[in-house]
Amino acid sequence: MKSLIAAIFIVAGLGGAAQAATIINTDGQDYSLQITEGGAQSEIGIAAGQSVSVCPAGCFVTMPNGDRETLSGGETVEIVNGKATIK
Amino acid sequence: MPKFLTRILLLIVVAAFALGGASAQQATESRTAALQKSIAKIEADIEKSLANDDRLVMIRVEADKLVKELIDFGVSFRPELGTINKRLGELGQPPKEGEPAEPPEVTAERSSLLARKAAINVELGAAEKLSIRANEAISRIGDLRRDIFANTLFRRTPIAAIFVDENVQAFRNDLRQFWRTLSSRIQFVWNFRTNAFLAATGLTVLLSTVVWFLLHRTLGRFFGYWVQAGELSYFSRLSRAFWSTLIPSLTLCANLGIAYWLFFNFGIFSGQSLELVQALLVSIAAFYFIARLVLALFSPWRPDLRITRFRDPAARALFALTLGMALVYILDFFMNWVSGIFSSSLAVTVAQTVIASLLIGILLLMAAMVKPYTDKNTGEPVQWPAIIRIPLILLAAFVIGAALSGYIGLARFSAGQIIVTGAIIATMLIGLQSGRALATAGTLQGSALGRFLQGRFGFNEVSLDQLSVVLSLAIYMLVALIGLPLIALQWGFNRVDVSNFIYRLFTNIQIGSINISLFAILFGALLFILGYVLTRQFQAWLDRNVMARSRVDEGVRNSISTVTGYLGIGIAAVIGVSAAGFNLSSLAFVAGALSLGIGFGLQNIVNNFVSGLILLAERPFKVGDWIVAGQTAGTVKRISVRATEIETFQKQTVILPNSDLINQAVGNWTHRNHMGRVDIAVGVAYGTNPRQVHDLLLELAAADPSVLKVPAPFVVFTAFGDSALSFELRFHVRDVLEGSVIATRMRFAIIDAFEARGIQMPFPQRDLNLKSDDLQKLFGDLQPAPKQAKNGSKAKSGRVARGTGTRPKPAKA
Repeated sequence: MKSLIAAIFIVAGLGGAAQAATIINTDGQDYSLQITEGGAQSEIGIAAGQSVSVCPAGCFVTMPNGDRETLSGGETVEIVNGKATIK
Repeated sequence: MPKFLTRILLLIVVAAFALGGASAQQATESRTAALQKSIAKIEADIEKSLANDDRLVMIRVEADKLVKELIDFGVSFRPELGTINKRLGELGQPPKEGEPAEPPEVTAERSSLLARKAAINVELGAAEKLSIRANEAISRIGDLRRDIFANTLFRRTPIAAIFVDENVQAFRNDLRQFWRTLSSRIQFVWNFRTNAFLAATGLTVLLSTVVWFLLHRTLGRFFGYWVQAGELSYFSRLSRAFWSTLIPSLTLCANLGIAYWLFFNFGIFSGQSLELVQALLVSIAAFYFIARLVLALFSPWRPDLRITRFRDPAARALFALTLGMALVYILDFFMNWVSGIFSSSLAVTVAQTVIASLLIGILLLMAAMVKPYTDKNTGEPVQWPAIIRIPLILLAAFVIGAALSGYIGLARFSAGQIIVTGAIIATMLIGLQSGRALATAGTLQGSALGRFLQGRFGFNEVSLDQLSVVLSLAIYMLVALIGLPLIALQWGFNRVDVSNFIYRLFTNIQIGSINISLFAILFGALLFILGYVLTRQFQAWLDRNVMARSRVDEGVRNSISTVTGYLGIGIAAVIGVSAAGFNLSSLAFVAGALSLGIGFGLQNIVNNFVSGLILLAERPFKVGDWIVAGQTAGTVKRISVRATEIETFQKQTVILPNSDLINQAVGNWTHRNHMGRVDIAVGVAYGTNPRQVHDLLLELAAADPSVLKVPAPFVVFTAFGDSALSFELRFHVRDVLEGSVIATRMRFAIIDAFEARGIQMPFPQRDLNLKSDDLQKLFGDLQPAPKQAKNGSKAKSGRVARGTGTRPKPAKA
């Protein structure tokens, strides 16, 4: 019963489900990023000109030039000349 | 001097930066330490409460919060990182060997910035590690809870030992203690805090009345027409079931919430008594909701409002049985809560669970035995179909078996799931049925909503029908989106799993190498519809407000609004397609591949399409023009991109491909103006004075008001015909579309004038010459007609008139 009440609240909360962050690679070069999301580390590749959606629940990202960034979801990250700018 | 000053200034800036950085560093260090402490505490807590499920749930909430905090902590560096990166970009790379050296201030600033950045990177790295630890803790909690669940589910308790007098006493004690706690608290409050108690009670009653009045009265009146007796449509019954469950339940929940809030804030209840009140209120609310739902489902006393086809006695029996199950389940739930508060002995809880599970099992078995339907032919009661009956019996048997054999956890779990999942499924079924009923044609029109839309927004039947399809789809989606996650969560799926699944379902369905995003497709469709509507609005505005006021020629107006329409829809389509996630460049590739095919197969269509564009741009004719194209003559009704609609004077619509109109000569009677010439051919007998005829015709033309004076009408003496002198009266009229009317009037006038002056309009005449030898030959053999032969020989030659009267050339009208 308690779980049902909890479930109802959760379902009501799902309406505002998290939004993924979008990473866009505007360079003519492929990059690989290290992403830590929900306790799991993974490496994703972004081909030249490609854009990917990552981590709806927020994550830590290590950019190709070694910079670390934290994404809470919903951001747009643009990689220009190997540098990432968050919008 | 200035150089020295700037150096000092720079030094101050750098120092300030470093100092600020240092204090910020201290702040972040303390924050990192705090976060580190929380994660350590969570890990320690987990180790302490390995077997306590409730406690683990609480720790899990803490861990979730911590993960979020870590992300926020990381995000908090973003502005500073952004500033540093920007400044570093401005400073540029350090000079390479051989390049001129840069000022030492720049080098100093760069190294200070880089040091700060490195420090932030270290912080972020630490946060990342902490987040991994927190997530590991979360997954460990999940594992532990699974183990606990399995243990409680499959732990066997010998039940013979529980039903002993001692436990019955303990159970009684629990109830007594519950009552004592509440009543003593109330007594205490009544004696020592009368004012607070009275205020809280009074306010509760007042606010509850207000809420009841607002929700029940206003909405109840809005939906009140269901209460009236009379034949109700299936959809009306469904919506009545829905609202009659929802509104009273919400009203009660609001009232209970108000009561709890007031009693809590006025300090009437606290500690154990507050927890007891909580348990009581939640149980009451849950039972009330289930009771309303069951009442709406089975409608035991109002067969006319029933949404199922159950027989009266069966509906009543099912109502009683399901209500009984709900009551048992909620009592068990309540007692469990109470014994949790009083930390009663486990044996009492076990005994109570066994009884509750057995009761639920038995009630379920009885429900499976009900004969709800009536046989159409014999009128005999019919059982549930096997597909419902057998699973119900199996479930009941399972619950009873588990309870009797001592698997209390399993029995309790399955009984609970049967009731809760059953309630969710029943609610979903009502929703789905409503969707289905709504999709049936004409349902919405008969409903209050339909009448409202019709009255208020002027929806017609067709748009109501379309709206009902959309609404029913929306209901299906809503039911699936709310019901399925509820069931999944109920069965132990994790919140993150469910939300991730939904998220992926909408944004990222992967089939092979293709990613489909439902959300993007819906969004694209929405954008397209929006673009379409905007285009139509813009088109109407342009036509009505801009072009009509600027007195633009109607043809141009039509062309511009058509082109605007196509352009707008094209843009909307492109936006829609790209928003739906289709790559336009790949579409271009497909178009390139198709163009060869288009070259052959669709040549004709493309030809017509391009011709249509040319017609719109060049405008050899416009809508409303009278044109002649090949065999077709008529008024242009519509110029669209592939073909043009022409209505002939017989009101036949001819669809002429645009390429025909471009490639062949098209006559347009009304191209620049509507002026046209009407020709009327007249023949008069030889012997008439031609000058008199000439003047007479000119007089007649001058007398007609529709005949233009300039260019002046004139008469042409066209020929010495076989039997007549041919004239042609030619005059211009303002509107060639009226030409035939004027020509007819003119012909009447000519006949009248000729008759008045004795001018003859001869038939065509032929002179027929016959030789007498031929006549002999012709009639010689014919014995019985000597008389005729004689006549014939006499008439050596004779004129035989033959003709059909005057045949003036029809005017081109």
